[in-house]
Amino acid sequence: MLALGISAFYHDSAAAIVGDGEIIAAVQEERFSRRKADAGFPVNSVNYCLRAADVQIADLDYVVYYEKPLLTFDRLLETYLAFAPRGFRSFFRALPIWAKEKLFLTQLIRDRLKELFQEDFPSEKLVFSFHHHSHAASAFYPSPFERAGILVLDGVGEWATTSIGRGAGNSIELSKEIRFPNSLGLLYSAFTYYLGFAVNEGEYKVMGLAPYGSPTYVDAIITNLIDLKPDGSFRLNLEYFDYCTNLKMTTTKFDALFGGPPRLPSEPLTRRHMDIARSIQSVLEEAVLRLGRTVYQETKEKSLCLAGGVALNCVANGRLLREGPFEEIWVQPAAGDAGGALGAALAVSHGAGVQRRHLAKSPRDGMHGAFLGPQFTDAEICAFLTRVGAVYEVLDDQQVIEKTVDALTEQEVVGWFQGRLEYGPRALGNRSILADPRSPQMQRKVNLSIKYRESFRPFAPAILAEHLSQYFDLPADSQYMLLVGQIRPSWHVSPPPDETDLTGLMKLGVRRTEFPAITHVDYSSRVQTVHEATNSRFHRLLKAFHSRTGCPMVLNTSFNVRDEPIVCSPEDAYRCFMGTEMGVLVMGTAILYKSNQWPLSH
Amino acid sequence: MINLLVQLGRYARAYRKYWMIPLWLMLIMLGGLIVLIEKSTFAPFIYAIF
Repeated sequence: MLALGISAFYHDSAAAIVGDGEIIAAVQEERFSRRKADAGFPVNSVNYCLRAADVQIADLDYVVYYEKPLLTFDRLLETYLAFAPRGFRSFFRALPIWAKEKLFLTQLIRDRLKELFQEDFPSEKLVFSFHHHSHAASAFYPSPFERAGILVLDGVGEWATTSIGRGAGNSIELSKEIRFPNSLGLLYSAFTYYLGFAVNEGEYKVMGLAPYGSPTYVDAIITNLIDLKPDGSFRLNLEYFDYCTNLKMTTTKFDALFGGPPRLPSEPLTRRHMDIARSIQSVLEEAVLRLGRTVYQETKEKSLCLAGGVALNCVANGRLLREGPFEEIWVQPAAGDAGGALGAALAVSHGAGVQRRHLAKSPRDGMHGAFLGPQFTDAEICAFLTRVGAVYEVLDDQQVIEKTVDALTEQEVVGWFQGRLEYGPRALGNRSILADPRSPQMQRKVNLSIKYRESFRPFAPAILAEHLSQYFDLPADSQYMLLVGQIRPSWHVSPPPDETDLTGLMKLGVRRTEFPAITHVDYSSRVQTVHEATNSRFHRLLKAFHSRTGCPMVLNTSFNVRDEPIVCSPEDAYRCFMGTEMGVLVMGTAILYKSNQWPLSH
Repeated sequence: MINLLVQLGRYARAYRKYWMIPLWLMLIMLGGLIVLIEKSTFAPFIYAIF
């Protein structure tokens, strides 16, 4: 049973291929097209998936689209009807794209596949999954759990914005849902917009900004914006939101409540912005905790699977794990809409009776560490480097590790390009930028000289899984960097820094722990645990760094610069290396030092 | 187009939304008209109508 899942036409297009329930490949189109959150038909991703599975289009049993377009169209129409005549302009802006493309998705997908493979794909093999069922399938089927509660939280798909249910064996049942326009994802996105960040992209910046502020607006949000019930269900006050009728998220009433118009991206971040970020983050966490308790009461399952864009909020996930009723939590690493492609393919495969065979294997998680994208051989990497005239050395495996540790301890920032590309928004040690987390200057250096991004944003540690409990207060592994934990007090600097007069970004440069580059201002960290079974070379690198320095973790951030997708190919990596102040690039067994290179124009 | 109409019919039956059928048809025609307006070869004809 071969199923190809596709998500496309909204944002974050992707394709995934599943063979007899086993995930063979999955990749986001942006990684090939180099357009962030590319919404086009995932031509390159589909092509790659078929190549990775070594099959032809005719071999596919199903192509599955990740949502039901008619339901979405129905939601749009009913929303416009409910608000008419308001929203007239945005409705007429949306209508042509529906009349031209989205209502004819069956034909559109078949046409695209025909253009790609020069043969007709039968319409009876093209099927559509519910948006939240795709998310739920992406969370439950690859999880290590025989049975689990399921919580799906996102902006909106067709109608559902929040779904709860249960997965057991081969089946998923979503029993309750909250519908558009009431949406935690859209609530958080409204604040993302208000704080001057891009909707669907900047939500993690709001999460990163939150610890700098105080939750002074929580009451204002709870009193005016959201009616949050004890069971986690909620209703938004639409007087404050404009997304139903307009192309912006908030109204002037919202602006008045929070003391001014939305921040422009070029404007500086003030204490007020930080307090707002902290407040909405607190409200979101409270809602997620309540919903988690409701899932537990409804299902009595000891494990929980999470998906949907809101499940990328690792601070809320960490709280749910620590304070919630569940013993274990598993979050789909591609929790956003890109993961819908994988979920759609899994839903059809398991719906047809394919068994979850990964449960009998070790590790029990079926995601293969999320390393599901393209890889390049050493020969391909060297051929490219030779072609562009790069100066490089090819080393044996042990030398690669040792030389990389040398560079890290010499405070160099290292581009680390290995094996298969990660699926989802996090770089997990195959397309990563690495640095020494003990350095007090490293956070600033990587933000401003390498990533060219906002100075306030924190970095994550990748730590040997076996050392997790020694360093972080986190009761479970966090293989996909989707849980936030606190650094244990034994690693805090003594005496603690005097921060009484410090507010907002003034807190940034203060050294709080032995690992300042990965410690956020509230002593938290978005942890990634590294396991030998899923990434052996990265694990060996961390072990070597540990034996040399006594520190079992490195700073790990995605291999890209601001507003660009994570690198995919050796060419992308080389360009990024040459265009930034990165000192060393390791690709497979080849190592490049910036000081030895000609400028890129050469 | 026929395929779409069949799908809309099935959808209306499954979700008991027969009342939306006239609206859908009207909007599809309107949408089609807007698409035609966007294509320059049809524009003079459309402008002449209005």
